[in-house]
Amino acid sequence: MNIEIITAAELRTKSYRNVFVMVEERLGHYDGFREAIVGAFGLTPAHADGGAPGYFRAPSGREYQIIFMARSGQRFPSGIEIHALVPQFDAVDPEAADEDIWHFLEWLIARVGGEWSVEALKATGKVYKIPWA
Amino acid sequence: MAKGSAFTSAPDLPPHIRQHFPFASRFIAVNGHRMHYVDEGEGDPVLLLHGNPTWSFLYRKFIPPIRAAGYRVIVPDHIGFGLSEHPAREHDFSLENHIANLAEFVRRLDLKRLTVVCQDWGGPMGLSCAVLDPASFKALVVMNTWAWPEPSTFHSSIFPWRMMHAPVVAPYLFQRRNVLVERGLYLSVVHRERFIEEALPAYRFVMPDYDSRLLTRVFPRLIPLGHDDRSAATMRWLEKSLGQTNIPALIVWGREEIVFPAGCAERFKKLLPHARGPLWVTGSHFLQEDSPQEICGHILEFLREIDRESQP
Repeated sequence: MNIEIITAAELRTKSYRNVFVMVEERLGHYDGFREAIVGAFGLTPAHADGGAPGYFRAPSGREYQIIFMARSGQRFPSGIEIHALVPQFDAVDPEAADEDIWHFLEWLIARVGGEWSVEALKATGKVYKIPWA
Repeated sequence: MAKGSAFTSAPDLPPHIRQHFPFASRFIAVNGHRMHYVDEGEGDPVLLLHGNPTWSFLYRKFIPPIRAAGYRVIVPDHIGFGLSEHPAREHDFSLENHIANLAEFVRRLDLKRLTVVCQDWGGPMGLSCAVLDPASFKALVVMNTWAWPEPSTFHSSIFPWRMMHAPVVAPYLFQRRNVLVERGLYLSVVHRERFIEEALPAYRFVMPDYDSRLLTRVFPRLIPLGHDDRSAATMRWLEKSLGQTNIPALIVWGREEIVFPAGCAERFKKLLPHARGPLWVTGSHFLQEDSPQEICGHILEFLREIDRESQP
């Protein structure tokens, strides 16, 4: 799974544009997932007020930005958006992004732990014919 | 009886789908959302309610025989499904909003002596409308659904159901990979080859992209797993209210159903002791795809019995 959490200074992709991949509006649907994101990116409530986004590099070498969302009445972050960082006018390969995000999910589930296991994620992925499961 | 503005056809449906769904599309605004529905025939109305991730296409083989038997057949697409509006914000959706949308739909069409036929999420929505205004309802037909806060073991297990709608996993599986349409439907019918050839293209067609699939992941999260979860209070209210009704009811269940297993049919029988059934038909979760003629036969026989009993 080999997801690397990186800083903006460590990005290898230069002159990129953001391409929306997906949004999770209810990160606290199971709060262990929100806590895993908080721990991985060192977030505090202060980040909700103009804080920097997060970044990760997939095993493919492609890089992604994570926008941390805040919502009144919910613990921060209430959600995340994931954006692919694509060299300025290059085409986007959705399947390649899906492969990268699958590895991100494996990484995330491993960090959540407890009753949530990468084996259960892979088993679910196999039932639903996810090619990388 | 009021009907919404009529279109002779939904022009976006390609011929290979239209040949199985030769019904006029109608549209009506409910609570600010555009809702698509089919409205065929004359007589006492029969409202056919789908769940996740289907649309009125699911009932394509129910409409002609029920219409031919002298009933008005009405089949809406819930907001977020089929040819209805597909809002793109998760926070727009709650079970209570869906119930309110359906209740407004029933009011706008001024439906009386109404029979509701419901499956999956059509159950909590349709049955809620019935207990809100029991005087307008003639009968209930309950199929592969639930009406209480506790989920089935299928819904409470991490593999695969809770994993599917877990944070971050859900938008990936349901929206980017469209797994409920591409795989879930197939796994939840008995006659799979027929389903792939005849029906799968229609379910794919109405969910072509990421935003259009939002509701397929929102609905699983509305199933309460704990006492304080969203929807739990509404489901408790529904169970209590339904237990106090005496609307004639029929329970039809799929023999191969695993999402709401046989115990759910028995629980409906305890909740509605006056109900006919459960009648068991060949069918997995989407039993309308598997046994439409047999189910329609049961529904029409049931309605004929009610009509006979209500005659002076």
